[in-house]
Amino acid sequence: MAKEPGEGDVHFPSTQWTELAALARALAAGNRQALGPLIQRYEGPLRAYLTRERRFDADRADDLIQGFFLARVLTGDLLARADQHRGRFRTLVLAALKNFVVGEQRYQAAAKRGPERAVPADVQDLEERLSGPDSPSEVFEVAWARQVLGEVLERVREQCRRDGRADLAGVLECRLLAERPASYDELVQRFGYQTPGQVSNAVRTARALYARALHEILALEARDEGGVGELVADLLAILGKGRA
Amino acid sequence: MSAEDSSLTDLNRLARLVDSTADDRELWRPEEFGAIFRHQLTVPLRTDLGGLDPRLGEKLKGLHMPDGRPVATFGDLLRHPAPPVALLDLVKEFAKKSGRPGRGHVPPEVATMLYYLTIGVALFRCGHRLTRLDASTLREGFHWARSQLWADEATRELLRCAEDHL
Repeated sequence: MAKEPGEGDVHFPSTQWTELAALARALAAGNRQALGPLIQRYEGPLRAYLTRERRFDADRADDLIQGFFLARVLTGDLLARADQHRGRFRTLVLAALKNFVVGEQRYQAAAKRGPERAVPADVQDLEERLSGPDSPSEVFEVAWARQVLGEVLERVREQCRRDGRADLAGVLECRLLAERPASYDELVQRFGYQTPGQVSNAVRTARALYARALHEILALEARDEGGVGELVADLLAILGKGRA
Repeated sequence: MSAEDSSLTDLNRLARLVDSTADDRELWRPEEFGAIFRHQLTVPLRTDLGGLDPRLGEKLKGLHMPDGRPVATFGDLLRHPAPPVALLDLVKEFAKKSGRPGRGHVPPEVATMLYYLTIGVALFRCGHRLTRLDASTLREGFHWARSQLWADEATRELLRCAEDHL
């Protein structure tokens, strides 16, 4: 198992990803909780990859993910690598997990042969050599896209609750996202809008809230402003493939 | 319904949802125009016209339907046998404004229906021309409006009568 990270493991990456840089700074200052959104974003997709594509059982997958977060994320290692990485952040995360898993498997195999022949988990070069080129994982990508959309919806709900406009989240869910969108009359009946102008404003505002939340959520892993647009395009492409 | 399910149900809808340049016209389906128009007719005049004329209250004072009820809604005014032209003019201005993109926007089709209906009522019931549009343009407008099947029969009949009055 990977070693527990200590303060001495923390890197100080100067990553170009604005949000990731902020996380790295928080981590460097000892605030590991700041990584919560990143961990929450990737926990599900990584689990989906390990259980559905790599066929690990759920407990083993959870152990590996926990070990991965401890060894690669909470140490700042992954964020430091992001600075050098040219591709998508999620590709880096998956590649890092694959490397970690290879390292873990080799470590365990060696440990079975005898403790004196065990190879430490921290065998980065070896891991990278064994894991081969990055290959996209549809399971991981679809899980990532779903996770992002789930976060977006939750953020909109939370904002609407805060603003005392729960109706807007309701409009989003029952009109803009639902498989069978609520009709105009249903919106009026359900939310008590007085005029067509109010109904239109509600739908337009709900749409804008969703687009803005998506932008904010994806900004976490976008290199720059243009990167968010690319990630939106990725998301739609992934979901399109997932439905094919 | 989970967020996951709802988010994946219609990719095109999702794409439009995240498209910040999406047109307001896409907010409503044509088959909903009738419901939107019917709703508009039930809206109190004070709700939508109050901001256009601070003296609206005075203009509505003493105005009653044949059954004695006060004139309160757009529908009341447009069905009134002798509606005040000044109020119809306000409704016409509201229709023009609400058909433009922006806050309070309704589908242009619905706004245009309200616009021609108001002009038609003024013409038919009051013998007053609310607009500087020429007869041929007005005829075209009335004809368009009365051919919209989502409008109720009474509205279309009124437009037919207005067209005859040109």
